[in-house]
Amino acid sequence: MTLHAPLAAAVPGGRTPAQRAWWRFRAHRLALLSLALLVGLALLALAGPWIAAARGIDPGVTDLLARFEPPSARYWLGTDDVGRDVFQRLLDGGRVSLLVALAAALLSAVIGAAVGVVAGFVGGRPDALLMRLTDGVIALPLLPLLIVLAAIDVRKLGVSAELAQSELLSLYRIIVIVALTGWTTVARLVRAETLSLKTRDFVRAATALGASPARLMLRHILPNAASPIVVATTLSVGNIVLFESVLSFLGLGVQAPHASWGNMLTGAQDFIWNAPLLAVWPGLLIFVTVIAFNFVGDGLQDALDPRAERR
Amino acid sequence: MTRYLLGRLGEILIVLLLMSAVVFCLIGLMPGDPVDLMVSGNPKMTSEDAARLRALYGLDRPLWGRYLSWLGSALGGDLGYSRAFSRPVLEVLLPRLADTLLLMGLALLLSAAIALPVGMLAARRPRSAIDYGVNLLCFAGISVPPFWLALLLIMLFAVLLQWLPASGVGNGPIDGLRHLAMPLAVLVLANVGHYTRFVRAATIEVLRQDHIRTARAKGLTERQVVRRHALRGALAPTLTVLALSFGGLFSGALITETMFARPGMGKAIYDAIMGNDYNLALVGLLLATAATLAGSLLADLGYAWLDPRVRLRAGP
Repeated sequence: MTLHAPLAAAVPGGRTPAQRAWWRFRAHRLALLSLALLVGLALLALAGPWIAAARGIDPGVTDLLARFEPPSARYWLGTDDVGRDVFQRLLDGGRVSLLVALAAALLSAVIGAAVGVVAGFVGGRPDALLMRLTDGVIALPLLPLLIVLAAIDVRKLGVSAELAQSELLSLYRIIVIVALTGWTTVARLVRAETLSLKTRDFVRAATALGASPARLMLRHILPNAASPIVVATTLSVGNIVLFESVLSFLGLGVQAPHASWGNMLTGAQDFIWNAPLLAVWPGLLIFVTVIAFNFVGDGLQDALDPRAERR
Repeated sequence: MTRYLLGRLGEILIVLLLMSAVVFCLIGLMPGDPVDLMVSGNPKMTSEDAARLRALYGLDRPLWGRYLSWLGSALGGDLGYSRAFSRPVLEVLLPRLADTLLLMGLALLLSAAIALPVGMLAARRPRSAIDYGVNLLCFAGISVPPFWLALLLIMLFAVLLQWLPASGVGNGPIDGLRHLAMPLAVLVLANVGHYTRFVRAATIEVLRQDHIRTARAKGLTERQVVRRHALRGALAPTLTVLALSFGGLFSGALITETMFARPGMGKAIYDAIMGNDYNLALVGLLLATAATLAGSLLADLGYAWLDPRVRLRAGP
């Protein structure tokens, strides 16, 4: 019987699941384009300090004699209201914004996967309670709650004044705060996947061999729920970037003098007359980043979950 | 049905109670209690004066004790005063709540009026050029930061063209509408993408069902099939998405009100947190949550009314 050869040829895109997923992902042109764009943007942002050194510009130094410079050979995108180079600030802000977004997305994936797998595996009351919680978080007005969280004074929690002022803490804090918005989608998808996985034969075999619930969840269920986790996390990055930018814009996220795309827009409303472009660049980068993450998520959904209808 | 309703209302009360406790504790962690603010405003006050004032206001008691006494008077109908306005918080908040609900309600209606026909149009020919274009626009709407969209609109319509006012609410209905136009546009554009994508997915799902095949088989035109049968089927799941979207809509209202300086609920809460007017912030958050949850409940009831297969029951 030569069944295997024609079968392999009939499955498009290669032999391993990863190859086939990549083949399907490539079919989504916008996703591919978005991925390239995100990689390019991240590389550019990471290279920011070297680019600044090569251009002989320190993006942190203010120069009141060079405020609102128009774009020129020296200042590629002009300067801001205190004479800092806009292009370099955009790269610095991109580094911070992307770092916060990716870290928060990872954290929210961990929270969501934990909640989802426990709810789906344990079932019964804990499941009902956890899913109520998830629905509750989705339905609540999140932004004012996040603003409250961002406004608390960590010194009153017993953190030393020195640490409370440190940049690292403010970075961790915004990561945790925005991660609190992103986990719900992951939790619901992982729960649904867990419900179907736990009745499968390989899980029942593992149970019969005496595997503990923790081992079942970590070794047998979660790895098989990887696709929905990856898809949901990618799709939540966009939202996380939006939340980070709006909190930073409102003065509650990444703090000046550190640049983030959100806080670069904070003062922009006042300069609409002299320098309208100052309000355009950071927002455009947020928009492009968010839409690119959403397209990549959409592409991943097509690639990793071929059973889902091709919409 | 009555049991379901009572169960949901009870749930809302529990959420509000939990929220009030959590937010009260968080606010206790915010910089500057009322006495700190008085001290910073009055250099003559000594630390003994401050301690005496703290004892007078009960601020020296532990947090849970303060919460219980706040809860007691709140349940007795006394929600306290706003520090910034020197008026009872409800007197400050209720007109603002009305303004925000108007903004949110109009945004919701307008979004639905766009999402339903556009989503169904895209669903009728999946993977066509129209579908592709609609999808692209939806992604753009979902991905645009609302505060930046507001900035761009202000730049275009208020600064460059000078057609619309950039801030405030205006006097009279015509002027009011002119002030409402840009905030409404931002809120609609930020939400309509989600709704449209969902309507499209729901319609595709419905168009595959047997009763649609029957409708086609008995000779109805495609237009009749979509208008009479698919619309009803797609409307019900869309309502469940609406039910979950009120919180996001309120978050959007906070951003637009802040950007366009509209004295609404969202801006009131933001200003209260930034200006240490914590009692106003607490009550504002609770009111906003109550309104959000009530909106979800209404949408769920609408769902049950539209879809006769759904029987509402209390509890899971």
